[in-house]
Amino acid sequence: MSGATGKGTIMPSQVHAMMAEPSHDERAEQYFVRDLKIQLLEMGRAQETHVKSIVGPVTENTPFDEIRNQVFQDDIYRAWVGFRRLSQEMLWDAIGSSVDRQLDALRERARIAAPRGSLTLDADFVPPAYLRDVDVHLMPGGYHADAGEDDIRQGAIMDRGGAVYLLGRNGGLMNDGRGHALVSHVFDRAAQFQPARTLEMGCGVGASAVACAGYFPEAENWGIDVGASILRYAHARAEHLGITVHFAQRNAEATRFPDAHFDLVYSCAVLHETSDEAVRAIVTEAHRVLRPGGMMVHLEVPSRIEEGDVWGRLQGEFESEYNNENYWHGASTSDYARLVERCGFQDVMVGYQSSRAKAERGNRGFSLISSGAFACWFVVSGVK
Amino acid sequence: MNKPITHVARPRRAIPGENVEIALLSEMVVALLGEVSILTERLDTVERLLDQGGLVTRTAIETFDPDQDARAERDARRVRQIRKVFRPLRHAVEREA
Repeated sequence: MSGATGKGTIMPSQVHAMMAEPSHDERAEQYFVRDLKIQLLEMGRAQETHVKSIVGPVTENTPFDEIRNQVFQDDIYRAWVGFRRLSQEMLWDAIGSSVDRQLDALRERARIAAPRGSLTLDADFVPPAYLRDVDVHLMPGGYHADAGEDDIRQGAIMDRGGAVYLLGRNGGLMNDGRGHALVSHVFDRAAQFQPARTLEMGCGVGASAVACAGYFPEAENWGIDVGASILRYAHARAEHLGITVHFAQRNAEATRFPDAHFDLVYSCAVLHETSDEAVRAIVTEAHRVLRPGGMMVHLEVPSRIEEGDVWGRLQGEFESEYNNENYWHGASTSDYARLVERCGFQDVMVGYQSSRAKAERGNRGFSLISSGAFACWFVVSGVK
Repeated sequence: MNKPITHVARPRRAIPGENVEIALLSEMVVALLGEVSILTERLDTVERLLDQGGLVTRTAIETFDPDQDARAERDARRVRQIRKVFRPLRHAVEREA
């Protein structure tokens, strides 16, 4: 039994040339992980009722550690947490072996003879501690593992894995749902918005940056992140899609771009992977590099945790402790309006932006009420 | 400042009260379920190729593209297998809920 094909027969994916294409058995394995995740998530509703019966009445003064200790004494909850973490570990294992089988072919395709955009790596780059020490989403090696030279492995794993991880709900294998939601918000705020320069902070494999650049082809579009392998992949991915993006290895807290350089600075589900201090630094840096009148937009996961929401808090704890999303609780509870106003932004909007397959100028997808995960994204935006 | 390529995510935080031996055994059971799922899908592909009366070669298996009905049947079978193996956990939760 072998799902692997010889290296000479590896066909490019129809999605785009850099997407790792699974063999028959690898695809079956990826479907298995996806469906395992869905089955475990579906147990959540009964689990929530179960947990509430264990914990009993909670007041505002009940310490979370006390609740947590009670809940983790329960065999059933503990087992569920363990299986959910396992499903994530199985995801990266499945994707990693599929990517490794075709790594030579992907590396070959990543050699772009005459690129439209650019790639600037920094051999001396030091990632911030919250990304250096923590492999976010349990992806082995995190965002910055790199074998050097022409390595694109980490990017290939992140791209294919991201689609399976999010169960295809972020734009299928294009992983670009957030990019379209982001531009929807921009058009909601300013229907005629025409930036000369845009910057995505924490661009990953460039899925949102490519989507954004597609709306503003005349602009100089930039994406920055911490990992060389992921950025090499992002560059090749954008080139194969025919979209011009400039990628650079930089820290969102200190981008080294000139003052007042951009018309739009944004991030897509990045803040919850950082820290309290980092979020302030990122917003401050966004303000510095924006021109007066420029727009900042940050998309975030739409699960807000209210005071006394035991289940929400426990699920947030799962994401931070067992899915290595550093700042989930902080990002889900922060008073963003206050934060961005203190950093100098005006006309601040905080709410939810509907997901759209395609952004349209003048669309009105902004709401103060969440329509649920993937149907919308939490958004905070402001004008300098 | 490259971080080397690795197959292990860090940190892996302890789950309070977890029995590591039982956890490892459970994880191996789920890994086996994954292998059964792959094998089932491959067998389904072989059966469908036989139904079509074509040659069942490795290339035919690799390039097999199930239609919408076949996909739905394969999805349903996969979910049924997962639910079967996870029945003890699901029922334990539902019993307590």
